[in-house]
Amino acid sequence: MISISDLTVADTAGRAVLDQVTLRVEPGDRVGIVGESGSGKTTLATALLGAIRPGLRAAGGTITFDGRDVLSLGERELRALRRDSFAYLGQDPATALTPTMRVGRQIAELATDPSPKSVARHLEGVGLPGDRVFQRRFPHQLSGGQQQRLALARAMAGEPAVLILDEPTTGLDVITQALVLTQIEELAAARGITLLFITHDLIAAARLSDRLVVLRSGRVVEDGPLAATLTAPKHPYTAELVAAVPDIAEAFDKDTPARASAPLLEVRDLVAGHGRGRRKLTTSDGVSFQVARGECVALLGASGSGKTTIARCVSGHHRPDSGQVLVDGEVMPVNVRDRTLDQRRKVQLVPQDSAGSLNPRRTVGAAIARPLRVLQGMDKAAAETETTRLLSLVGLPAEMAARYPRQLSGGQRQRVTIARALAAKPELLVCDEITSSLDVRVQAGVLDLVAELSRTEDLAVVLITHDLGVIARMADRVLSLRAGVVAEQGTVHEVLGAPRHEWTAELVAAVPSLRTELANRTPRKAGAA
Amino acid sequence: MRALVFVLRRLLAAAGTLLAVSVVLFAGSEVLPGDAASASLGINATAEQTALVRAELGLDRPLAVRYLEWIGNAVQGDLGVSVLERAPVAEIVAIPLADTALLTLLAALATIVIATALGLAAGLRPGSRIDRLLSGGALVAVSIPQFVIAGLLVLLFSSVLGWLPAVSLVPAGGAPIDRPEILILPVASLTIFAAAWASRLIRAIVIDANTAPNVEAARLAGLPERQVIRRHLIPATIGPAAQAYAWLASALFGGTAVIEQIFNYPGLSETLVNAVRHHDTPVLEGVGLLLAGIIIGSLVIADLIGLLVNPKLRTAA
Repeated sequence: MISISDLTVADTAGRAVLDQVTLRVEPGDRVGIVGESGSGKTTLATALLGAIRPGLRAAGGTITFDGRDVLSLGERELRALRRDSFAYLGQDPATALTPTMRVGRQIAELATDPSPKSVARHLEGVGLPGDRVFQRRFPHQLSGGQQQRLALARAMAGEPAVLILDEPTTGLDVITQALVLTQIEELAAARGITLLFITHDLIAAARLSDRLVVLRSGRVVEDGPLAATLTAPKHPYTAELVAAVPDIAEAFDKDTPARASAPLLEVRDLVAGHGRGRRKLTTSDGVSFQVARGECVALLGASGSGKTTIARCVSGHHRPDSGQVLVDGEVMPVNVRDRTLDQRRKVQLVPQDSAGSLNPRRTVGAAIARPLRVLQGMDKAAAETETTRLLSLVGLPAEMAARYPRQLSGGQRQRVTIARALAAKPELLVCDEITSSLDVRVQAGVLDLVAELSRTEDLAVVLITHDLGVIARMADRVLSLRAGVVAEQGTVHEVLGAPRHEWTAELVAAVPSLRTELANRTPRKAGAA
Repeated sequence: MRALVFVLRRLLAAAGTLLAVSVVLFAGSEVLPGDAASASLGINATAEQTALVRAELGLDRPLAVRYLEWIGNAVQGDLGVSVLERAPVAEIVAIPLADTALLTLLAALATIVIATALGLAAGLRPGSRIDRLLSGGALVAVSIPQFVIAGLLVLLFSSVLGWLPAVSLVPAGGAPIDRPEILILPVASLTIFAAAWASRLIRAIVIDANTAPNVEAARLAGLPERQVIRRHLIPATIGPAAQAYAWLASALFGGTAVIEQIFNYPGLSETLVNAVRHHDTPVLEGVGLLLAGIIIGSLVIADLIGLLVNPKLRTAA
């Protein structure tokens, strides 16, 4: 029913954002379209709805839906198509709700039958109450999960034949993410809706599709049944992508060597928070842990659980209310300015926002050379040679030294911040969500680098991330934080394999895994296209 | 309940601001060299004579005492007595204030209508021909001083075409409202400047709302464009637009001072100029307090409008 043939979309400079994309989707298909940033996946998603972003134009090919050419429809017909046949759910679906519109109206506006009764049916269809009182509510009076459901109900109100999902789970916490995916799966199955699931997240795609299309730089490089594509990819790029995805299942067969040596970092009874007086918010409350040389300890917790505050206390950028940070058995002054150069050298922080932490007016080379000269006392020539070495260590060519941060991609910038931290010859690296904005292959590169350094240089690593896959791949031990308190700690195997704390268990259960996904799977439809 | 608390807090804050303004206003006009006593006696007065008049006017008492007396009376509607005219300030100010308010109000209404229309037209299609045209026009209108705009309007409509009067002659005992044609040019001069400025603000507000995920989603859901704008886009713009227009109120009052002088319009600016010339501090303080009250009042109104259109603030959580 949907047939895309040789679709080419180009920008004003003539570069192809989509390059001769050909795709056939039959009614009832569940197709996952995966690609990294810049692969053209959002352009493809909106092009299906006849919407091409300003600055882009359709340069060739056709999209037909039930025989009609979507790209040449008039405004009225296009609206009818969007209203009756397609539904679109974008990133963080709850943001699609207009805050000034009541729940009932949100549905009635798009429903084929806008009566309160039919609206109630739509609401009940996604597990929301359909009663009058609920229909009179505003979006902000619903919980986060209810908002996601309402957005889904809104998308389904027009009884669409095709649901286009464009990264609907990106930016959601894993528990809400699981809820949204389950809800979509059930609705689609009940109504026989065709799903086009566009995402960068291979695991989420695996959760919701029977067929996988891999998009790279605007081209389809692979198109086949899900299980076969994941287990035996035909294109090397797909293989690379699959291998790069950190899977929580990696934790299950990992054993952590016991470390006898004295801990490099010791955090004792750390209490820290923000604000003062009545507005005081304690984000970490009596946190204690140790990290040995060569060991990687992950801090796991929902946003607001105090992970970053702990990291900043360790690096001396946040003043704790009480408690101590010891490095090599030595109590560190709470403020980084009161630490000696050698104390500063030992602990280096790689912050989450690489763009914000690099001075836009300094070249990459200058950013890396500074700690070399200040903390290691190198002269200019030596610092230059070392900068080149560090750049190549993080996989960047020497010419990058002359560039400014804005001329770099997100992944390159993140590597620069790592190189800058390494320039200090640290003994402890504190990594705060360093890969959360990176594509999966770039993430794999950065993670491999940190793991490698940890092994060869005996570097201790404190890893902060919300991604359990990353923890499973990288960490030796895990600290699970809940509302500023250590809920449980142990080896990765213990914590992710058999969580004892309720919240950790819920989290682990919500995290999708390629491996378990494939193992539990009985294909709904045998192979397509 | 929460909304009521919000309103009360906002009103309380406004009263506090007005009080702070009154302190600055009072202190500011009292520390200026020379006072009503020396001004009314002229330069030949002896020190004894000045002291006598000062005592008579109560000017020899401490500043704090006089402030408390003044603000205490002001709260009850008594703004003191003009030194120059020996009449209550409230009485002297009432008619010019009404005339200025008429001018400002008409200009504000015209500005809101024009700037909203232009801002919407430009903001819904940023980068389009109409947007670029309006951007250019607004830049020109904002860059030209108001008195030049007024002069050009007079040149065209009174000198060349002879359609409208160049000065606002009001018959003795009459009000500008009796001769509406004298209002047109002053209002137009004020509006051109203010609308140009406000349309840029509205444009930015509209662009912001137009790229919000809910508006984009409404379009992709196939709703007609008019419905998308009316139900999904406009509600998000009302609060910020009310704020923008409230700030405009103070700019408009500033603008009227110049425009009234140019057109010889009977308004507050005449009263103020006289008061400054003759060190008539009670009048200055009274007018200052009234203007501050009007401006702070319009900001409060804007906040209340913001409250009304935001269900999150309006409803209890």
